[in-house]
Amino acid sequence: MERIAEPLDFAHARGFIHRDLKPDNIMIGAFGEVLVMDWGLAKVGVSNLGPGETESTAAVQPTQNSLRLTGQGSVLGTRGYMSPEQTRTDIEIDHRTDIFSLGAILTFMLTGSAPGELPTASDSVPRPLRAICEKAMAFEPNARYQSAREMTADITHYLNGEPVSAYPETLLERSGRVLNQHRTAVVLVAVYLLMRVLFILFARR
Amino acid sequence: MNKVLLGLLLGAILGAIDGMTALFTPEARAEITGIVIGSTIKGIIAGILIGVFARKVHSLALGIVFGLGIGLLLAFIVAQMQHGYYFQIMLPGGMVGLIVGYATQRYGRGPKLQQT
Repeated sequence: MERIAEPLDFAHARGFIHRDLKPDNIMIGAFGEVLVMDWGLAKVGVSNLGPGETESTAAVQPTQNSLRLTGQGSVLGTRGYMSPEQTRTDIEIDHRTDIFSLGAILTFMLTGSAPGELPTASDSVPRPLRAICEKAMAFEPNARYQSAREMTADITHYLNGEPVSAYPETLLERSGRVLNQHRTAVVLVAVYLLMRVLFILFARR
Repeated sequence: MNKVLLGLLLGAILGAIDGMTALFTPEARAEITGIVIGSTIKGIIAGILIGVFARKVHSLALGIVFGLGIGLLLAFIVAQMQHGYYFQIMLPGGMVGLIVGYATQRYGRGPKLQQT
């Protein structure tokens, strides 16, 4: 996911919106590199480059024309991976439409099923991961992650056994996570204490 | 936390706990203060040595083995001085060393790299 997000973040910073992210458009190169393909539906928006940053390869100068180069007045994208606002022709979309698609891809990776059907509570997908998917695929763009980097940071937090921003955990869940994260240390201390108790019991005999 | 400091603190705490369990042995109760102090000092020495080792060698397995070795060695010296109780002293001592060895490698922070 992180390696999908990297080129996407790069593109977003330069004002490009992919608009058709889906598993079919993610490819693994010969050296294991992740390639985000098919920028045919990409839209050029507003570059988010900082004041000190420059773009040497393809200077993005968004104009009224370039903003409307693709898809004006028509619905473009792939059902299931397309954000709600992308299905409408009357609102301007931004990079957060790609965040929705990333959430759909993550859902696909986790469940193996078509997006649009998030796993239910009984499914094997851990709740924090489900929350990440739900946040990325929120109906309102403002409720989603605001960048691909932010989303992958949450996934990395989950993989490292840390709390994720999308999922406020209960005290019990937090304790379970911390215990799981420090399993070996907990086992060692427990064995030590057990040994101590056994020594005391034997000493009393 | 710095690996040496972590080793020192853990060694001191586990050493003190180790010593205090002598309270449950009636014949050792009279000398409890000396036992606790001695055990804490033993823990501190083990902790510092294990912490210094963890700073030099970045290997969880070697850290655990070294911790176990130091714990057993110091406990053996104490048992020699007590003329007995080898099992009761060396097993917990080795265990404390093992825990400190694991913790310093896993949770201790190494020295900061200097920028050149």
